[in-house]
Amino acid sequence: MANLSALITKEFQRISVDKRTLALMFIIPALVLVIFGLSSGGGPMTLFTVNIITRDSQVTGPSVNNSVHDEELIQSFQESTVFVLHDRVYNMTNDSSFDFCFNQNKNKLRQNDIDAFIIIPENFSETIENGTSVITLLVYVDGSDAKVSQAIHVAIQEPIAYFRVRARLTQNFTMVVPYLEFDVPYWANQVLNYAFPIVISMIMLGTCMNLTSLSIVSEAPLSRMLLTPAGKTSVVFSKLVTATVIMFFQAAEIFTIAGIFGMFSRGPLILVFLSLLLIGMVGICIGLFISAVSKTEQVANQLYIMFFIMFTLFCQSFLPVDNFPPFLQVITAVFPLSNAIPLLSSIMYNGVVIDVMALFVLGATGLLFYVLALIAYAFKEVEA
Amino acid sequence: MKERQFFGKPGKPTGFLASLLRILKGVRKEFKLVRTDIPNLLLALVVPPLIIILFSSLMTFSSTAPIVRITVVSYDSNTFFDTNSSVITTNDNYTLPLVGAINNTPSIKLVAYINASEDPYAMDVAYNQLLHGNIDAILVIPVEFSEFLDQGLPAMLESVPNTQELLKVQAILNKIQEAADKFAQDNNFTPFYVDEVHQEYTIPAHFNGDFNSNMNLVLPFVMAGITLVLTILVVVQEKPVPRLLLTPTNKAEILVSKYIAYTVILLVQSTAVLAASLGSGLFIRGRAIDLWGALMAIGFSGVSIGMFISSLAKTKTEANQLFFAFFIILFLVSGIFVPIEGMPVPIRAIAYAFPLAHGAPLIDSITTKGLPLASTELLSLGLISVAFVVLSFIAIARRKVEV
Repeated sequence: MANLSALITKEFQRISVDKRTLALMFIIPALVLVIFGLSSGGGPMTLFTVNIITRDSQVTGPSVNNSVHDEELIQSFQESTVFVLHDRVYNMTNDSSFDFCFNQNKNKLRQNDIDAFIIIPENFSETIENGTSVITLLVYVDGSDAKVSQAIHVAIQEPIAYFRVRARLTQNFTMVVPYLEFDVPYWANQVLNYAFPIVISMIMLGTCMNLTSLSIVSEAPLSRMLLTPAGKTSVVFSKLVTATVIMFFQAAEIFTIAGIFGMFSRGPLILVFLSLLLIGMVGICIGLFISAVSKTEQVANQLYIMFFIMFTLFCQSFLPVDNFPPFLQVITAVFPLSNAIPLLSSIMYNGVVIDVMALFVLGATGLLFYVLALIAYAFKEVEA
Repeated sequence: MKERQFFGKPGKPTGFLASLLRILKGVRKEFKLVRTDIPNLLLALVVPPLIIILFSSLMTFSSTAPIVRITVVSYDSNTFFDTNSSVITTNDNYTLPLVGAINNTPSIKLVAYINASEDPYAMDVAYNQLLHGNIDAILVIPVEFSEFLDQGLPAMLESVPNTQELLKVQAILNKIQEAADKFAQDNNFTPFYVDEVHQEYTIPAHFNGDFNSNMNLVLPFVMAGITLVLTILVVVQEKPVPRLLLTPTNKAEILVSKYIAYTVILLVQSTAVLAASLGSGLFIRGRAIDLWGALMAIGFSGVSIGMFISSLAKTKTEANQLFFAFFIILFLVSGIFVPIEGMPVPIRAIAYAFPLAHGAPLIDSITTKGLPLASTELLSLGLISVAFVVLSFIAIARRKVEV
């Protein structure tokens, strides 16, 4: 016990000298939270930027031309919550001007100035008045992103619905109205709260890995240290204890700053805090393992970067893991961030529900890396 | 021994020529260093194309659409009181056709259909399923659904998607709309309009759409990330600095030689990544040379940021820590999980100060739209690179020598 307390004291002295690591642990989360927290507005949704070309004023026959209803439709788009008109409305009265305008808008689509453009046909108002046939609205959308091009069909239902009510064309009308559940309420900071599970998980894991990834490999001379009564297990355990204490203060700092800037949680805040501690512990254990297996600081640094990038890329939040082979889905499912993000978001967005599987996998991962660190350190050769 | 002549003058070269010679020797030294550091050499030349090939093989394994799990809760059989005619009805003739349409929509799995007139806790059951992640959405059929359709009035359905996983919400809504369209079609609800959607700039059918759409993010990430990792230690690991600085070579020349060496490595990297991408099935509507140029521009911005970090840091550990700080911010504001257009203005400004915010649109514009390399994104990348190059020279100029 005396050996252990002496080792822990030594570790605190070592870390207190490394002021830059400490600064990294405390400044970066604060900086990120302040940036996200000070920003108001924004959110995970984007609106469709569109242009509208109306040919309703074009004369299509000998009868009197009607072009009233296209204005109602355009007004519906202008009042819509999912569309933003990029330019003025293009009112085409003949084929040649339409061709020019069409090519102009196709070029805007190509230049990413707009997401889509919509063409109201030349017999739009007449068809509505007569009610004899089906109107075809032409929508030219950027098809390079399949999800976007499917989404516009859903999005267009809203202005069409407004228009149909306005024009009293409600027959055969089925509409799906979404009510988002477990979302961040409109009064809460959207950017901070939607980003919190991902951002904070990454920061906790990364900084805690950083804290311990050099803690063993930078110890020199190892041989002299091992001549003391302190055993190898005590050495590693002392580093775990020290890092955990510092990580506790980091988690408290994150929790406090996030709370000041309006962190929203449906579930108990204590569970959020405990989850942060668990994620930090896993980072510490992974860092200890990296430090134990590395021969030099440079190797440890490179391993730390590789592990972190791998965990980040394959955390199942960015890349479509559904398309991966089953064995890789299983491997990425046990990565720390693949479980840390669902754990935090289940507490913050869903409420009291804890993702038990995520909790178990995180705990097991931390324990596994700690055991591996002990084994690797036990076999570490001493320098002569 | 004959004295060497330089521009007709005997002796050693001076001025600009001397500086150029020192820089070239510095470049040669850098190449020797890279050649002897095998892990770094592998990281520089083998890892980037390997990542592309690996990613391609993963994406081509299976491209089935994710299943959307839905529970339908129907109140349609409940008593509906028509206030206009004062008639009480319990019509639900359209409920089962709607449920059938949902069940027959591809990529939708109907987990449960609960009739609320038989089970008063129907919504609680469905809500708990949603809460525990057993379903992706609840579809609620209101009490007036069939009656309104019979009378030619708008019939509204309510969908309650789980927004815990933001990236899946749009896909859920798309699928539900598809089911509603199928229901309308199956029951001959003649719509007053049809939207004819023309998808421009789509990936041709014989290319893997998932692979191609994800490469717009993967390519800039790989180029910027690998070059950043490669260069964060190149200045800080130089030791002993005082002995180095006692030579005629000055700090600026040291840095220039490193920039030249790593730009040459970048040339090889970009070529390897382009070859691996094309070989893996990347579709390019534009010119391959433009894509190569884009990879070079993104890679050079990574080099300049890495050199800046390396010039600023006093120790290798500090360089790695600074790398982590830059990487976190670079990744968070890259637009991968929150669209840049959806970010508030202050964060958007930070996003645009880093290369990934410009790299992804640049690659997208070349591969899917066939636009040329010369664009505002290229200019932005150039400005970012110039800014970090200047900062790196300032940092190395302020570097103190160790005694």
